[in-house]
Amino acid sequence: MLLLLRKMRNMLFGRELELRVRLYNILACIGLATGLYSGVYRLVIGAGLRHIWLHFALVIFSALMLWYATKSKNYQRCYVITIVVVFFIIFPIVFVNLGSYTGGIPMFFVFAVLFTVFMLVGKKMFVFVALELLLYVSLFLYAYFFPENVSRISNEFIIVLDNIVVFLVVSIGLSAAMAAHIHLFDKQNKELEAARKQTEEYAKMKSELFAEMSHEMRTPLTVMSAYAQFAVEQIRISGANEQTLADLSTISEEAQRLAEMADGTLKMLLSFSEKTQTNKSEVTPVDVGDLATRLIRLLKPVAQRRGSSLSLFVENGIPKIQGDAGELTQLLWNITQNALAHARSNIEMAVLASGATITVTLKDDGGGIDPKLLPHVFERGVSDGAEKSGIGLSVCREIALKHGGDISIQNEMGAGTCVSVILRGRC
Amino acid sequence: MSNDGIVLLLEDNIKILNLNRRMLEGEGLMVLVAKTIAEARERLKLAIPDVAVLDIMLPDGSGIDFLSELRQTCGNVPVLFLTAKAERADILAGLVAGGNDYISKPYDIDEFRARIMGFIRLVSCDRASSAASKNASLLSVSELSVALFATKGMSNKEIAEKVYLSESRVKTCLSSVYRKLGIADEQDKRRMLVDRLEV
Repeated sequence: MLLLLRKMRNMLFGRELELRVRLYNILACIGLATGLYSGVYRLVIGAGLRHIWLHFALVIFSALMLWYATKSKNYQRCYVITIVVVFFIIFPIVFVNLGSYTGGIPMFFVFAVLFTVFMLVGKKMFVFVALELLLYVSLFLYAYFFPENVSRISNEFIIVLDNIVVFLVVSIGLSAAMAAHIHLFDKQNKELEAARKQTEEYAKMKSELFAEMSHEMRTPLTVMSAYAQFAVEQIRISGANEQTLADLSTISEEAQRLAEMADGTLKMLLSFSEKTQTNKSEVTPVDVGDLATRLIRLLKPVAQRRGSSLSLFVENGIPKIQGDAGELTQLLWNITQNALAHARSNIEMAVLASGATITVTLKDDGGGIDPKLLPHVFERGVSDGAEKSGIGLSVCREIALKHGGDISIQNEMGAGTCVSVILRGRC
Repeated sequence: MSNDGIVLLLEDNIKILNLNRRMLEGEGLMVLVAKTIAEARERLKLAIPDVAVLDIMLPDGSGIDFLSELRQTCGNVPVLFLTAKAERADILAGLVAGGNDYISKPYDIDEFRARIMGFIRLVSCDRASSAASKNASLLSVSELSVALFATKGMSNKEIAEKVYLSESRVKTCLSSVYRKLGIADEQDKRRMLVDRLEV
């Protein structure tokens, strides 16, 4: 029995249901309970059939609507049917036939207006609320000017009883609705806050990485300027000798290195900024091996500075795939950034092909991922609990799925994690 | 020209390290080189430098943290930061932490050299030797100088010409170096010496 009740509760008010659906189910249950109570009550005191049928009609209607709503899932239609049948037809009938404004019915009018506001949206809500206000005000005036057409409760005690019951029903119903609302509001606020924090951390992580990259780009400049100065000095003193020539070659090599880094950084920044500006995909044949090579070249000095080696293996003859170079760069960047944040001393990337399917694997020797979090890392807003965020991974999965592939992550035996990305190209 | 000064260079970029070493050796200074803080610690077991040049971002830590360690073993040795961190806040942090000078990369090598030579003139020439006499495990100035030339693959005769000593004196110096460094292997002495002094 208890189990059945719990199952009922989950079905009608479960957390996974939308707020409006839960409100609607609350409303239907209230209708069911009220109808049942007043029907049985009137049956007991031996009121005539004329007074009783309406209550049982309400019970049957509530039960029917509850059943129909959970079956059809067409809640918007249920809301409208309910509002029309209950608020526009049953309430006026009850008002005229069962006690008018001396009973508890006016409180039900407030209830009707509020629930209409809760359940409907936009123009529809305004129209229905306006109609209800007009209807209920007219009913009050009608009862005042034509008292002979409206039945009244003559027994003072029954008026009190009626008021108490309706007061309890309405206030409990409205409180439940408000509580559900506020609870949802708080929950959403918390989620928003968490998401905002994660986005902030991710941006911080990224800008730190960019700062380190630009730092690494100063190094070749330092070498070049110092060697050039020294070479000039040596030539002035003793003319060019073997050592001077070697120094000049060093300058040229460093200039080459710097040019490559600058080129890679520029392309990366461009693809990121284009992505955020247009948010449109541009599908071209993309050489994933080349993307990986550029990225690793760019991040290698940063990894070394952090005490990790970063290596890349690209299989020969990787076919180009149809894809968005900016998105794919972002995917590779995100997984590498995560690996950089967690690795102890070693990160290995490999780009392999089998037929037209490309697999990118990235292994690090960090502490691995909490097994409890592992199934959820690709959901938006899940992170490893430390300050480093996993928000990048949900984006990675979106990109991989778009490119006809998928992404998976597992803890390696011993230590670290291995991310595998499969890409087949976009159609 | 010999200045008898000892400079410790702590720099993780081998190219910059080598250039600075060549430049300072050209001024007649003895140069101890280290690419990591760990290596720098090892060098400090051999000799007390007269000037230390520290990079800040190093693979095994921060040069600023290493500074306090350096002060404990070497007292008031002048310290010059040579680093790519060029923001005003970085410079202040380096100086407040106890650095005596700060040069940001890319740097002017004439200026760098001039500042080092300025520090060398400031510290008395017998600093290193007096420190060495207090601590018998450290190398004396002539021992260090002989050892540094030996790591460049010079014969005893060539070293003798460089340091204006007799060949037999150089030999005595070297055996004293091997003793202090705990190098016993007769066959491979020179290679082990290189291991202890080179990066």
